[in-house]
Amino acid sequence: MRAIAVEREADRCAMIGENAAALGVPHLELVAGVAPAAPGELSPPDAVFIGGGLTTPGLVERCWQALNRGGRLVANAVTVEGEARLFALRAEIGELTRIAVSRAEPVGAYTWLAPAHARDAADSRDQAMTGTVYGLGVGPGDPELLTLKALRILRAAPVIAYPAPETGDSFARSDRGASFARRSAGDRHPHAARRRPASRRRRSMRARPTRSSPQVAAGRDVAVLCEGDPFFYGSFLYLYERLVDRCPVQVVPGVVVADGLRQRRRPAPGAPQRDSHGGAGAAPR
Amino acid sequence: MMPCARASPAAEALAIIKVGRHLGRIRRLLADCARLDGACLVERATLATQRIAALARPR
Repeated sequence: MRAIAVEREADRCAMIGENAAALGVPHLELVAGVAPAAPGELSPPDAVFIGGGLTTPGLVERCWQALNRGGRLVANAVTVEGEARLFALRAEIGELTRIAVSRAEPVGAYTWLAPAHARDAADSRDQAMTGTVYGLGVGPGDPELLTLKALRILRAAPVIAYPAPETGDSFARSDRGASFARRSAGDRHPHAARRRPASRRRRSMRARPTRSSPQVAAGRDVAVLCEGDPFFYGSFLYLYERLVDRCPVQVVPGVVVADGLRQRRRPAPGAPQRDSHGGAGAAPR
Repeated sequence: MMPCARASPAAEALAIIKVGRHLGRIRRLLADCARLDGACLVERATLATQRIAALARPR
């Protein structure tokens, strides 16, 4: 952990040095320079505090871009114009928070809370990316061969994603996804249902992660329907590899097709009369 | 596919999943290693429309 201060005024540099010594800031590096130019040469910071001069052209943008992933920008926004510079970043910012401090001061015989200048804290979008991606094993086909856990998550998830071939409908969604989504998440979040008009069902695995990513980035949970079990030769493996460093990913196991067949196995004409799984399965009916 | 064919004699049962468009090749492979007679084809497993048939039979 280290802190770097950039200040162009010599007397303020001296003040910063004194304050750091008095308050005990370790490893403070003082750079005498002009802020928009100077931070570019520094290693990416986790947090940037802009004490003033928000309206300096390019200052906010430069500091914001310099931030580390998940970083935070805190700025003293004294004027409306300064605050407007922060609002201009709104599209990129994950969360914008205004913090105001008021101090109790005497007013005659009474006390009032005198507001200090507001500070605006802008959290970078990477940090705000708190939505969880669930790889839901939805079983081999029978909608009832779904775990209670998968059902709970499916009902709660505002966004449901599913693999689909380039042409034709998605098997993962066809029965389980569609029937549960209609009764659950789709009802509570109609926009999730509207995301799947017939004309847009033709989406490939390749397209899906990028379509779902903005939802996760917006802090929303995404349930990905996976036939059988997500990790039992499932294509969710590829999605998992791409996402695991970017957002929380949880995997909910599912019934794989061979297990699903145990109850249903009938000897095929000409097939040997034995359980296809060689043991504990139910007898052929 | 060849590892499957080699594993076949040692296993009591063998499930080949994600067959799809490879069905014809798999049928030929199983025929080549004399496993076609005991093989059955399951379509839309566990669904109401499930269909089980001998793999050897023409569809």
